[in-house]
Amino acid sequence: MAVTDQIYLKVEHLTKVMKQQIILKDINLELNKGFIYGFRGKNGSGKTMLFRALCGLILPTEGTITVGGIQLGKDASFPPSVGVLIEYPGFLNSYTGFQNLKMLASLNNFIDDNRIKEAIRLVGLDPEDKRKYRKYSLGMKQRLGIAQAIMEEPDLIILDEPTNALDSEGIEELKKLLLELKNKNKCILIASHDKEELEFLSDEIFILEKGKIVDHYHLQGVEK
Amino acid sequence: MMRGYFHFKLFLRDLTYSHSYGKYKYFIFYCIVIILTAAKTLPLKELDGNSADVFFLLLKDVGYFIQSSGYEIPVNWIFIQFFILFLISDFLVHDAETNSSYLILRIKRREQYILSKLIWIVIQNILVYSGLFIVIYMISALLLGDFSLEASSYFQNTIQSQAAILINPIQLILHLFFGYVLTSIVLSGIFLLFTQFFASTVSFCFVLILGSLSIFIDWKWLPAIHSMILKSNLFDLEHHLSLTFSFVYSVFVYILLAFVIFSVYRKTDILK
Repeated sequence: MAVTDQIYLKVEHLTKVMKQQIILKDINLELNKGFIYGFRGKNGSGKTMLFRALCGLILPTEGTITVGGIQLGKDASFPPSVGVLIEYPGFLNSYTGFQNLKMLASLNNFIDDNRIKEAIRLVGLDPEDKRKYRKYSLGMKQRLGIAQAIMEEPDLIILDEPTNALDSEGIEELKKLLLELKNKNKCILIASHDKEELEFLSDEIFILEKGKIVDHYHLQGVEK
Repeated sequence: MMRGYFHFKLFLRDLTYSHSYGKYKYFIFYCIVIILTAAKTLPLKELDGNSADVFFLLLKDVGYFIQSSGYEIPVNWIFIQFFILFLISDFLVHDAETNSSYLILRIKRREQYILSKLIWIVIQNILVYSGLFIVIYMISALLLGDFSLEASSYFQNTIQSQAAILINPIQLILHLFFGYVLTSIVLSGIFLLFTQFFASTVSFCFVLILGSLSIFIDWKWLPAIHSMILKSNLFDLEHHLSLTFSFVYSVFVYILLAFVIFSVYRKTDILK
Protein backbone atom coordinates (compact mmCIF):
# COMPACT_ATOMS: atom_id res chain seq x y z
CA MET A 1 0.00 0.00 0.00
CA ALA A 2 1.13 3.53 -0.63
CA VAL A 3 2.48 4.95 2.60
CA THR A 4 3.52 8.52 3.11
CA ASP A 5 3.78 10.81 6.11
CA GLN A 6 0.31 12.17 5.51
CA ILE A 7 -2.26 9.46 5.03
CA TYR A 8 -5.50 11.07 3.90
CA LEU A 9 -7.87 8.13 4.25
CA LYS A 10 -7.15 5.43 6.79
CA VAL A 11 -9.29 2.37 7.35
CA GLU A 12 -8.47 0.10 10.26
CA HIS A 13 -10.02 -3.32 10.74
CA LEU A 14 -13.30 -2.31 9.14
CA THR A 15 -15.95 -4.99 9.47
CA LYS A 16 -19.60 -4.67 8.58
CA VAL A 17 -22.21 -7.24 9.51
CA MET A 18 -25.77 -6.95 8.23
CA LYS A 19 -28.54 -9.40 8.96
CA GLN A 20 -25.98 -11.78 10.41
CA GLN A 21 -23.98 -11.73 7.17
CA ILE A 22 -20.44 -10.43 6.97
CA ILE A 23 -20.47 -7.78 4.24
CA LEU A 24 -17.00 -6.35 4.86
CA LYS A 25 -14.31 -8.21 6.73
CA ASP A 26 -11.28 -6.68 8.44
CA ILE A 27 -10.51 -4.09 5.75
CA ASN A 28 -7.35 -2.05 6.20
CA LEU A 29 -6.40 0.78 3.86
CA GLU A 30 -4.03 3.73 3.82
CA LEU A 31 -4.75 6.05 0.92
CA ASN A 32 -3.21 9.36 -0.03
CA LYS A 33 -4.13 12.41 -2.00
CA GLY A 34 -2.76 12.61 -5.51
CA PHE A 35 -3.47 8.99 -6.38
CA ILE A 36 -6.15 6.99 -8.14
CA TYR A 37 -7.10 3.78 -6.39
CA GLY A 38 -9.00 1.05 -8.18
CA PHE A 39 -11.19 -1.50 -6.47
CA ARG A 40 -11.98 -4.63 -8.41
CA GLY A 41 -14.27 -7.49 -7.57
CA LYS A 42 -17.25 -9.44 -8.80
CA ASN A 43 -20.79 -8.27 -8.17
CA GLY A 44 -21.49 -8.67 -4.46
CA SER A 45 -17.81 -8.63 -3.49
CA GLY A 46 -18.38 -5.59 -1.27
CA LYS A 47 -17.06 -2.73 -3.43
CA THR A 48 -20.16 -0.58 -3.17
CA MET A 49 -20.57 -1.32 0.53
CA LEU A 50 -16.97 -0.35 1.16
CA PHE A 51 -17.55 2.92 -0.70
CA ARG A 52 -20.70 3.58 1.31
CA ALA A 53 -18.77 2.98 4.52
CA LEU A 54 -15.99 5.35 3.41
CA CYS A 55 -18.64 8.03 2.81
CA GLY A 56 -20.19 7.49 6.24
CA LEU A 57 -23.44 6.24 4.74
CA ILE A 58 -23.18 2.90 6.52
CA LEU A 59 -21.89 2.58 10.03
CA PRO A 60 -19.05 0.10 10.75
CA THR A 61 -19.81 -2.83 13.01
CA GLU A 62 -16.13 -2.82 13.98
CA GLY A 63 -13.11 -0.74 13.07
CA THR A 64 -12.53 2.90 12.22
CA ILE A 65 -12.45 5.14 9.17
CA THR A 66 -10.47 8.36 9.31
CA VAL A 67 -10.65 10.91 6.50
CA GLY A 68 -8.44 13.99 6.61
CA GLY A 69 -7.82 13.41 10.32
CA ILE A 70 -11.53 13.15 11.10
CA GLN A 71 -12.80 9.84 12.45
CA LEU A 72 -16.20 9.04 10.99
CA GLY A 73 -18.88 8.33 13.56
CA LYS A 74 -16.83 10.05 16.26
CA ASP A 75 -15.63 13.47 15.09
CA ALA A 76 -18.15 13.77 12.26
CA SER A 77 -20.74 11.62 10.54
CA PHE A 78 -19.42 12.19 7.03
CA PRO A 79 -16.10 13.11 5.38
CA PRO A 80 -15.65 16.89 5.24
CA SER A 81 -15.20 17.04 1.49
CA VAL A 82 -16.46 14.16 -0.60
CA GLY A 83 -18.07 13.68 -4.00
CA VAL A 84 -19.63 10.37 -4.95
CA LEU A 85 -21.20 8.52 -7.79
CA ILE A 86 -22.88 5.38 -6.51
CA GLU A 87 -25.55 4.36 -9.02
CA TYR A 88 -27.38 7.06 -10.97
CA PRO A 89 -28.63 10.02 -8.97
CA GLY A 90 -32.36 10.60 -9.45
CA PHE A 91 -32.03 13.51 -11.82
CA LEU A 92 -35.29 15.08 -12.89
CA ASN A 93 -36.39 14.20 -16.42
CA SER A 94 -37.96 17.58 -16.99
CA TYR A 95 -34.81 19.53 -16.06
CA THR A 96 -31.71 20.17 -18.16
CA GLY A 97 -28.36 18.84 -16.95
CA PHE A 98 -27.40 22.26 -15.63
CA GLN A 99 -30.71 22.70 -13.78
CA ASN A 100 -30.34 19.29 -12.15
CA LEU A 101 -26.84 20.07 -10.90
CA LYS A 102 -27.88 23.52 -9.76
CA MET A 103 -30.64 21.99 -7.64
CA LEU A 104 -28.10 19.76 -5.89
CA ALA A 105 -25.48 22.48 -5.58
CA SER A 106 -27.98 24.88 -4.02
CA LEU A 107 -28.14 22.66 -0.93
CA ASN A 108 -24.75 23.66 0.42
CA ASN A 109 -24.18 26.73 -1.73
CA PHE A 110 -20.43 26.10 -2.05
CA ILE A 111 -20.24 26.84 -5.75
CA ASP A 112 -21.71 29.25 -8.26
CA ASP A 113 -23.23 28.71 -11.72
CA ASN A 114 -19.86 29.13 -13.45
CA ARG A 115 -18.33 26.27 -11.51
CA ILE A 116 -21.35 24.04 -12.30
CA LYS A 117 -20.93 24.85 -16.00
CA GLU A 118 -17.21 24.14 -15.78
CA ALA A 119 -17.90 20.70 -14.21
CA ILE A 120 -20.34 19.91 -17.02
CA ARG A 121 -17.75 20.92 -19.61
CA LEU A 122 -15.08 18.80 -17.90
CA VAL A 123 -17.13 15.64 -18.44
CA GLY A 124 -17.63 16.47 -22.10
CA LEU A 125 -21.17 17.84 -21.98
CA ASP A 126 -22.45 21.23 -23.04
CA PRO A 127 -23.72 23.31 -20.09
CA GLU A 128 -25.83 25.40 -22.47
CA ASP A 129 -27.56 22.29 -23.87
CA LYS A 130 -31.32 22.95 -23.54
CA ARG A 131 -32.27 19.30 -23.90
CA LYS A 132 -34.07 17.82 -20.92
CA TYR A 133 -32.47 14.98 -18.97
CA ARG A 134 -35.01 12.54 -20.43
CA LYS A 135 -33.42 13.12 -23.86
CA TYR A 136 -29.95 12.20 -22.61
CA SER A 137 -28.30 8.96 -23.73
CA LEU A 138 -27.06 6.55 -21.04
CA GLY A 139 -23.51 7.78 -21.60
CA MET A 140 -24.58 11.40 -21.13
CA LYS A 141 -26.43 10.47 -17.94
CA GLN A 142 -23.29 8.82 -16.63
CA ARG A 143 -21.22 11.89 -17.50
CA LEU A 144 -23.68 14.13 -15.66
CA GLY A 145 -23.45 11.80 -12.65
CA ILE A 146 -19.67 12.21 -12.70
CA ALA A 147 -20.07 15.99 -13.02
CA GLN A 148 -22.20 16.12 -9.85
CA ALA A 149 -19.48 14.16 -8.02
CA ILE A 150 -16.68 16.55 -8.96
CA MET A 151 -18.47 19.90 -9.22
CA GLU A 152 -17.79 20.98 -5.64
CA GLU A 153 -14.09 20.10 -6.08
CA PRO A 154 -14.05 17.63 -3.19
CA ASP A 155 -10.80 16.24 -1.80
CA LEU A 156 -12.16 12.70 -1.83
CA ILE A 157 -13.82 11.47 -5.03
CA ILE A 158 -15.54 8.08 -5.00
CA LEU A 159 -16.85 6.69 -8.28
CA ASP A 160 -18.60 3.34 -8.42
CA GLU A 161 -18.47 1.86 -11.93
CA PRO A 162 -17.84 5.27 -13.57
CA THR A 163 -17.26 3.73 -17.00
CA ASN A 164 -20.76 2.23 -17.15
CA ALA A 165 -22.41 3.20 -20.42
CA LEU A 166 -19.36 5.14 -21.58
CA ASP A 167 -17.95 4.40 -25.02
CA SER A 168 -14.19 4.14 -25.63
CA GLU A 169 -13.99 7.87 -26.31
CA GLY A 170 -15.84 8.53 -23.03
CA ILE A 171 -13.44 6.29 -21.13
CA GLU A 172 -10.46 8.15 -22.63
CA GLU A 173 -12.00 11.47 -21.57
CA LEU A 174 -12.65 10.08 -18.09
CA LYS A 175 -9.03 8.99 -17.84
CA LYS A 176 -7.92 12.50 -18.81
CA LEU A 177 -10.29 14.03 -16.27
CA LEU A 178 -9.12 11.72 -13.48
CA LEU A 179 -5.49 12.53 -14.23
CA GLU A 180 -6.30 16.25 -14.04
CA LEU A 181 -8.02 15.72 -10.70
CA LYS A 182 -5.11 13.59 -9.47
CA ASN A 183 -2.74 16.40 -10.36
CA LYS A 184 -4.92 18.72 -8.30
CA ASN A 185 -4.07 16.48 -5.34
CA LYS A 186 -7.42 14.70 -5.04
CA CYS A 187 -7.77 11.25 -3.54
CA ILE A 188 -9.73 9.27 -6.11
CA LEU A 189 -11.35 5.86 -5.60
CA ILE A 190 -12.97 4.00 -8.44
CA ALA A 191 -14.62 0.59 -8.57
CA SER A 192 -15.15 -1.68 -11.50
CA HIS A 193 -15.50 -5.35 -12.26
CA ASP A 194 -13.53 -4.81 -15.49
CA LYS A 195 -9.80 -5.43 -14.97
CA GLU A 196 -8.59 -3.72 -18.14
CA GLU A 197 -10.57 -0.54 -17.60
CA LEU A 198 -9.51 -0.30 -14.00
CA GLU A 199 -5.84 -0.83 -14.77
CA PHE A 200 -6.12 1.79 -17.49
CA LEU A 201 -7.36 4.32 -14.94
CA SER A 202 -5.66 3.48 -11.61
CA ASP A 203 -2.31 3.80 -9.85
CA GLU A 204 -2.98 1.01 -7.42
CA ILE A 205 -5.51 -1.79 -7.47
CA PHE A 206 -7.25 -3.55 -4.59
CA ILE A 207 -9.06 -6.81 -5.21
CA LEU A 208 -12.10 -7.65 -3.16
CA GLU A 209 -13.63 -11.05 -2.64
CA LYS A 210 -16.51 -11.75 -0.31
CA GLY A 211 -16.01 -8.47 1.54
CA LYS A 212 -12.30 -8.92 2.06
CA ILE A 213 -9.29 -7.39 0.33
CA VAL A 214 -7.45 -10.43 -0.97
CA ASP A 215 -4.77 -8.71 -3.05
CA HIS A 216 -3.40 -5.37 -4.14
CA TYR A 217 -0.77 -4.19 -6.56
CA HIS A 218 0.79 -1.03 -7.95
CA LEU A 219 0.73 -0.32 -11.64
CA GLN A 220 3.90 0.55 -13.49
CA GLY A 221 4.26 3.35 -15.95
CA VAL A 222 1.40 5.39 -14.63
CA GLU A 223 2.07 9.09 -14.58
CA LYS A 224 2.16 10.12 -10.91
CA MET B 1 -28.78 30.65 10.78
CA MET B 2 -26.85 28.37 8.44
CA ARG B 3 -28.71 25.28 9.66
CA GLY B 4 -32.05 27.01 9.09
CA TYR B 5 -30.89 27.91 5.59
CA PHE B 6 -30.08 24.26 4.83
CA HIS B 7 -33.46 23.14 6.18
CA PHE B 8 -35.23 25.63 3.97
CA LYS B 9 -33.20 24.79 0.85
CA LEU B 10 -33.70 21.07 1.34
CA PHE B 11 -37.42 21.45 1.96
CA LEU B 12 -37.73 23.69 -1.10
CA ARG B 13 -35.88 21.08 -3.12
CA ASP B 14 -38.21 18.32 -1.81
CA LEU B 15 -41.25 20.35 -2.79
CA THR B 16 -39.95 21.17 -6.27
CA TYR B 17 -38.64 17.68 -6.93
CA SER B 18 -41.77 15.91 -5.70
CA HIS B 19 -44.05 17.98 -7.91
CA SER B 20 -41.90 17.49 -10.95
CA TYR B 21 -41.41 13.78 -10.25
CA GLY B 22 -45.07 13.00 -9.56
CA LYS B 23 -46.86 15.42 -11.87
CA TYR B 24 -48.38 12.76 -14.15
CA LYS B 25 -49.62 10.71 -11.20
CA TYR B 26 -51.19 13.81 -9.64
CA PHE B 27 -52.77 14.65 -12.98
CA ILE B 28 -54.34 11.18 -13.19
CA PHE B 29 -55.60 11.48 -9.63
CA TYR B 30 -57.27 14.82 -10.26
CA CYS B 31 -58.77 13.55 -13.52
CA ILE B 32 -60.40 10.67 -11.63
CA VAL B 33 -61.62 13.15 -8.99
CA ILE B 34 -63.21 15.25 -11.74
CA ILE B 35 -65.08 12.19 -13.04
CA LEU B 36 -66.22 11.19 -9.54
CA THR B 37 -67.30 14.74 -8.80
CA ALA B 38 -69.30 14.91 -12.01
CA ALA B 39 -70.94 11.58 -11.19
CA LYS B 40 -72.04 12.88 -7.78
CA THR B 41 -73.03 16.33 -9.06
CA LEU B 42 -75.28 15.54 -12.00
CA PRO B 43 -78.03 13.78 -9.98
CA LEU B 44 -78.08 16.79 -7.63
CA LYS B 45 -79.25 19.09 -10.43
CA GLU B 46 -82.79 17.87 -9.99
CA LEU B 47 -82.57 17.76 -6.19
CA ASP B 48 -81.68 21.42 -5.74
CA GLY B 49 -78.27 20.69 -4.27
CA ASN B 50 -75.06 22.69 -4.37
CA SER B 51 -71.29 22.14 -4.00
CA ALA B 52 -71.50 21.64 -0.23
CA ASP B 53 -73.72 18.62 -0.82
CA VAL B 54 -71.24 17.24 -3.35
CA PHE B 55 -68.43 17.48 -0.79
CA PHE B 56 -70.52 15.44 1.61
CA LEU B 57 -71.67 12.84 -0.91
CA LEU B 58 -68.22 12.34 -2.39
CA LEU B 59 -66.13 12.33 0.78
CA LYS B 60 -68.39 10.69 3.34
CA ASP B 61 -67.86 7.22 4.70
CA VAL B 62 -70.66 4.81 5.59
CA GLY B 63 -70.83 5.39 9.33
CA TYR B 64 -70.38 3.05 12.23
CA PHE B 65 -70.01 -0.65 11.60
CA ILE B 66 -72.79 -2.24 13.60
CA GLN B 67 -73.38 -5.49 11.79
CA SER B 68 -71.87 -6.92 8.63
CA SER B 69 -75.11 -7.51 6.71
CA GLY B 70 -76.04 -4.50 4.65
CA TYR B 71 -72.82 -2.64 5.41
CA GLU B 72 -71.36 -1.01 2.33
CA ILE B 73 -67.71 -0.46 1.53
CA PRO B 74 -66.86 3.28 1.43
CA VAL B 75 -65.33 3.16 -2.03
CA ASN B 76 -64.74 6.90 -2.48
CA TRP B 77 -63.25 7.24 1.00
CA ILE B 78 -60.86 4.36 0.30
CA PHE B 79 -59.91 5.71 -3.12
CA ILE B 80 -59.17 9.26 -1.98
CA GLN B 81 -57.49 8.36 1.28
CA PHE B 82 -55.22 5.70 -0.15
CA PHE B 83 -54.50 7.19 -3.57
CA ILE B 84 -53.11 10.29 -1.87
CA LEU B 85 -51.20 8.09 0.56
CA PHE B 86 -49.75 6.31 -2.47
CA LEU B 87 -48.70 9.63 -4.05
CA ILE B 88 -46.97 10.71 -0.85
CA SER B 89 -45.33 7.30 -0.25
CA ASP B 90 -44.19 7.03 -3.86
CA PHE B 91 -42.06 10.16 -3.59
CA LEU B 92 -40.69 9.24 -0.16
CA VAL B 93 -39.52 5.86 -1.47
CA HIS B 94 -38.20 7.18 -4.78
CA ASP B 95 -36.22 9.95 -3.09
CA ALA B 96 -34.78 7.61 -0.46
CA GLU B 97 -33.75 5.10 -3.12
CA THR B 98 -32.21 7.44 -5.64
CA ASN B 99 -31.22 10.66 -3.93
CA SER B 100 -30.68 10.21 -0.21
CA SER B 101 -26.93 9.52 -0.51
CA TYR B 102 -26.32 12.57 -2.69
CA LEU B 103 -28.40 14.85 -0.51
CA ILE B 104 -27.12 13.66 2.87
CA LEU B 105 -23.47 13.91 1.81
CA ARG B 106 -24.10 17.52 0.81
CA ILE B 107 -26.02 18.57 3.90
CA LYS B 108 -23.82 16.37 6.13
CA ARG B 109 -26.62 15.40 8.54
CA ARG B 110 -29.01 12.48 8.40
CA GLU B 111 -31.42 14.26 10.75
CA GLN B 112 -31.87 17.15 8.37
CA TYR B 113 -32.85 14.83 5.55
CA ILE B 114 -35.55 13.10 7.57
CA LEU B 115 -36.74 16.34 9.18
CA SER B 116 -37.24 17.79 5.73
CA LYS B 117 -39.34 14.77 4.78
CA LEU B 118 -41.47 15.14 7.92
CA ILE B 119 -42.16 18.78 7.09
CA TRP B 120 -42.77 17.89 3.44
CA ILE B 121 -45.40 15.31 4.46
CA VAL B 122 -47.39 17.98 6.32
CA ILE B 123 -47.15 20.66 3.62
CA GLN B 124 -47.70 18.26 0.72
CA ASN B 125 -50.82 16.76 2.31
CA ILE B 126 -52.25 20.25 2.88
CA LEU B 127 -51.47 21.18 -0.75
CA VAL B 128 -52.88 17.99 -2.27
CA TYR B 129 -56.10 18.15 -0.25
CA SER B 130 -56.45 21.87 -0.97
CA GLY B 131 -56.20 20.98 -4.65
CA LEU B 132 -58.76 18.22 -4.18
CA PHE B 133 -61.26 20.52 -2.49
CA ILE B 134 -60.76 23.25 -5.09
CA VAL B 135 -61.32 20.73 -7.92
CA ILE B 136 -64.48 19.37 -6.30
CA TYR B 137 -65.80 22.87 -5.69
CA MET B 138 -65.03 24.18 -9.17
CA ILE B 139 -66.37 21.17 -11.07
CA SER B 140 -69.54 20.84 -9.02
CA ALA B 141 -70.22 24.59 -9.05
CA LEU B 142 -69.70 24.78 -12.81
CA LEU B 143 -71.94 21.79 -13.48
CA LEU B 144 -74.67 23.06 -11.17
CA GLY B 145 -74.26 26.69 -12.20
CA ASP B 146 -74.31 27.58 -8.52
CA PHE B 147 -71.21 28.78 -6.67
CA SER B 148 -72.85 29.26 -3.29
CA LEU B 149 -72.01 27.17 -0.25
CA GLU B 150 -75.18 27.91 1.68
CA ALA B 151 -77.48 25.21 3.00
CA SER B 152 -79.51 23.98 0.03
CA SER B 153 -82.86 22.33 0.37
CA TYR B 154 -81.09 18.99 -0.27
CA PHE B 155 -78.73 19.82 2.60
CA GLN B 156 -81.59 20.65 4.94
CA ASN B 157 -83.74 17.66 3.97
CA THR B 158 -81.12 14.95 3.58
CA ILE B 159 -77.83 15.87 5.28
CA GLN B 160 -79.14 17.82 8.26
CA SER B 161 -81.66 15.08 8.94
CA GLN B 162 -78.81 12.57 9.39
CA ALA B 163 -76.80 14.91 11.62
CA ALA B 164 -76.82 14.65 15.39
CA ILE B 165 -76.50 18.40 15.87
CA LEU B 166 -77.38 21.50 13.89
CA ILE B 167 -74.63 21.98 11.30
CA ASN B 168 -73.89 24.39 8.48
CA PRO B 169 -72.22 23.58 5.15
CA ILE B 170 -68.97 25.46 5.88
CA GLN B 171 -68.59 23.61 9.18
CA LEU B 172 -69.12 20.32 7.34
CA ILE B 173 -66.58 21.14 4.62
CA LEU B 174 -63.95 22.28 7.12
CA HIS B 175 -64.47 19.13 9.19
CA LEU B 176 -64.04 17.01 6.07
CA PHE B 177 -60.91 18.91 5.01
CA PHE B 178 -59.12 18.79 8.34
CA GLY B 179 -60.21 15.21 8.98
CA TYR B 180 -58.73 14.00 5.71
CA VAL B 181 -55.54 16.07 6.02
CA LEU B 182 -54.85 14.99 9.61
CA THR B 183 -55.51 11.34 8.79
CA SER B 184 -53.30 11.43 5.73
CA ILE B 185 -50.44 13.10 7.61
CA VAL B 186 -50.53 10.45 10.33
CA LEU B 187 -50.76 7.55 7.84
CA SER B 188 -47.85 9.01 5.84
CA GLY B 189 -45.82 9.28 9.06
CA ILE B 190 -46.59 5.66 9.93
CA PHE B 191 -45.51 4.65 6.43
CA LEU B 192 -42.22 6.53 6.81
CA LEU B 193 -41.60 4.78 10.12
CA PHE B 194 -42.37 1.34 8.70
CA THR B 195 -39.97 1.89 5.80
CA GLN B 196 -37.15 2.10 8.34
CA PHE B 197 -37.75 -1.58 9.12
CA PHE B 198 -39.53 -3.14 6.14
CA ALA B 199 -39.55 -3.00 2.34
CA SER B 200 -41.63 -0.17 0.90
CA THR B 201 -44.34 -2.43 -0.57
CA VAL B 202 -44.70 -4.29 2.72
CA SER B 203 -44.86 -0.98 4.59
CA PHE B 204 -47.53 0.33 2.25
CA CYS B 205 -49.61 -2.83 2.72
CA PHE B 206 -49.29 -2.48 6.51
CA VAL B 207 -50.55 1.10 6.38
CA LEU B 208 -53.32 0.10 3.99
CA ILE B 209 -54.51 -2.55 6.43
CA LEU B 210 -54.13 -0.24 9.42
CA GLY B 211 -56.11 2.47 7.63
CA SER B 212 -58.80 0.05 6.49
CA LEU B 213 -59.41 -1.16 10.04
CA SER B 214 -61.47 1.98 10.62
CA ILE B 215 -64.05 0.71 8.15
CA PHE B 216 -64.86 -2.29 10.32
CA ILE B 217 -63.74 -1.28 13.81
CA ASP B 218 -65.50 1.57 15.58
CA TRP B 219 -62.62 2.71 17.76
CA LYS B 220 -61.68 6.37 17.87
CA TRP B 221 -57.99 5.67 18.57
CA LEU B 222 -57.49 4.24 15.09
CA PRO B 223 -55.52 6.64 12.86
CA ALA B 224 -57.82 6.66 9.84
CA ILE B 225 -61.16 7.08 11.62
CA HIS B 226 -60.66 10.87 11.77
CA SER B 227 -61.51 11.38 8.10
CA MET B 228 -64.82 9.53 8.50
CA ILE B 229 -67.39 12.29 8.76
CA LEU B 230 -70.32 10.01 9.61
CA LYS B 231 -68.40 8.70 12.62
CA SER B 232 -67.66 12.23 13.86
CA ASN B 233 -69.67 14.02 16.50
CA LEU B 234 -71.50 15.94 13.77
CA PHE B 235 -73.41 12.76 12.97
CA ASP B 236 -72.92 10.61 16.06
CA LEU B 237 -72.80 11.79 19.65
CA GLU B 238 -72.31 8.39 21.19
CA HIS B 239 -68.63 7.90 20.29
CA HIS B 240 -67.37 11.45 21.07
CA LEU B 241 -65.21 11.78 17.96
CA SER B 242 -64.83 15.55 17.73
CA LEU B 243 -62.56 17.54 15.42
CA THR B 244 -60.69 18.83 18.47
CA PHE B 245 -60.02 15.26 19.56
CA SER B 246 -58.90 14.35 16.04
CA PHE B 247 -56.56 17.34 15.94
CA VAL B 248 -54.96 16.67 19.34
CA TYR B 249 -54.71 12.93 18.62
CA SER B 250 -53.13 13.42 15.17
CA VAL B 251 -50.65 16.08 16.29
CA PHE B 252 -49.61 13.96 19.26
CA VAL B 253 -49.23 10.78 17.17
CA TYR B 254 -47.29 12.61 14.45
CA ILE B 255 -44.87 14.17 16.93
CA LEU B 256 -44.39 10.77 18.54
CA LEU B 257 -43.79 9.20 15.12
CA ALA B 258 -41.35 11.98 14.21
CA PHE B 259 -39.41 11.38 17.41
CA VAL B 260 -39.16 7.62 16.78
CA ILE B 261 -38.29 8.08 13.08
CA PHE B 262 -35.60 10.58 14.08
CA SER B 263 -34.08 8.22 16.63
CA VAL B 264 -34.11 5.27 14.25
CA TYR B 265 -32.89 7.11 11.16
CA ARG B 266 -29.79 8.61 12.75
CA LYS B 267 -28.52 5.07 13.38
CA THR B 268 -29.70 3.61 10.10
CA ASP B 269 -27.44 2.58 7.25
CA ILE B 270 -28.20 4.40 4.02
CA LEU B 271 -28.10 1.59 1.54
CA LYS B 272 -29.81 3.10 -1.47
